[in-house]
Amino acid sequence: MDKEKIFEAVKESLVGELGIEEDKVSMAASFHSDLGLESLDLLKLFFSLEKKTKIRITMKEVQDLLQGNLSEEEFFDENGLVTQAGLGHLQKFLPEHNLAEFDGELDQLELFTLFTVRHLVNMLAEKASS
Amino acid sequence: MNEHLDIGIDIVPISKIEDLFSKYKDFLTEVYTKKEIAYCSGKKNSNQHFAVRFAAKEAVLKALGSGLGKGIEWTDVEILSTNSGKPRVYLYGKVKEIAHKRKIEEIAISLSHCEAYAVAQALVRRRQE
Repeated sequence: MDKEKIFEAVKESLVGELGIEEDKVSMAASFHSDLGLESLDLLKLFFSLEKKTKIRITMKEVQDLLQGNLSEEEFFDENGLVTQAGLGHLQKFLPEHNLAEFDGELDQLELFTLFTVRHLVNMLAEKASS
Repeated sequence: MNEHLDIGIDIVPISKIEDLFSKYKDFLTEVYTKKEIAYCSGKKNSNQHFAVRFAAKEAVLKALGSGLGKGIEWTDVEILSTNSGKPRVYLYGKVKEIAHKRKIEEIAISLSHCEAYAVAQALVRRRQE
């Protein structure tokens, strides 16, 4: 399944299952900031995509992807904020965001807001090919 | 030694939970523990009880500042009620580990629901040295 088809499946689920306006759905759209999705909506999206593509994605996998190979201690400080090492990893993974503007104040909840349609499409494509 | 308080709140439309249950059977076991399922299933308005528990899990994770972190499962936060009806929070797995590392001493939770919405607020007390 190529990325174009996966994007179409994601779009179909967002529009049909979650009532998102079609013209709002793009690869760069953030699920939280641009499409207004909460975690319960994302769960629904993942279940809907599993039905369509037979590929299962969990919230845990999304977080694993965002955190990369860094351990909990390397990624978060004792107050739950993303460390410099964590920000370095994220900046490579999320080139479209300027993480410097968070100025050491990025916690896990804000981290989740950075997740975009492109990331999900890439995750699904990777799983489909493995 | 100082103490620090954090709060977290969440609201869930009951209709979203009803919709998920009707379409996706795995939702139940991905999100709720066996004890939560047994408790809510026995209630008259079970979807309201399931919805408020989802809101409570979110509220606890927000108060902990952790969200759904690496290795965290929805079932790591369990909301059960005592015989008197007072809700209590139980932590497992990765969330328990995080709470221990962040020196969490107490988590209080308050739940409310009606026909349309369920809300939960969590208060977390943390020790700061």
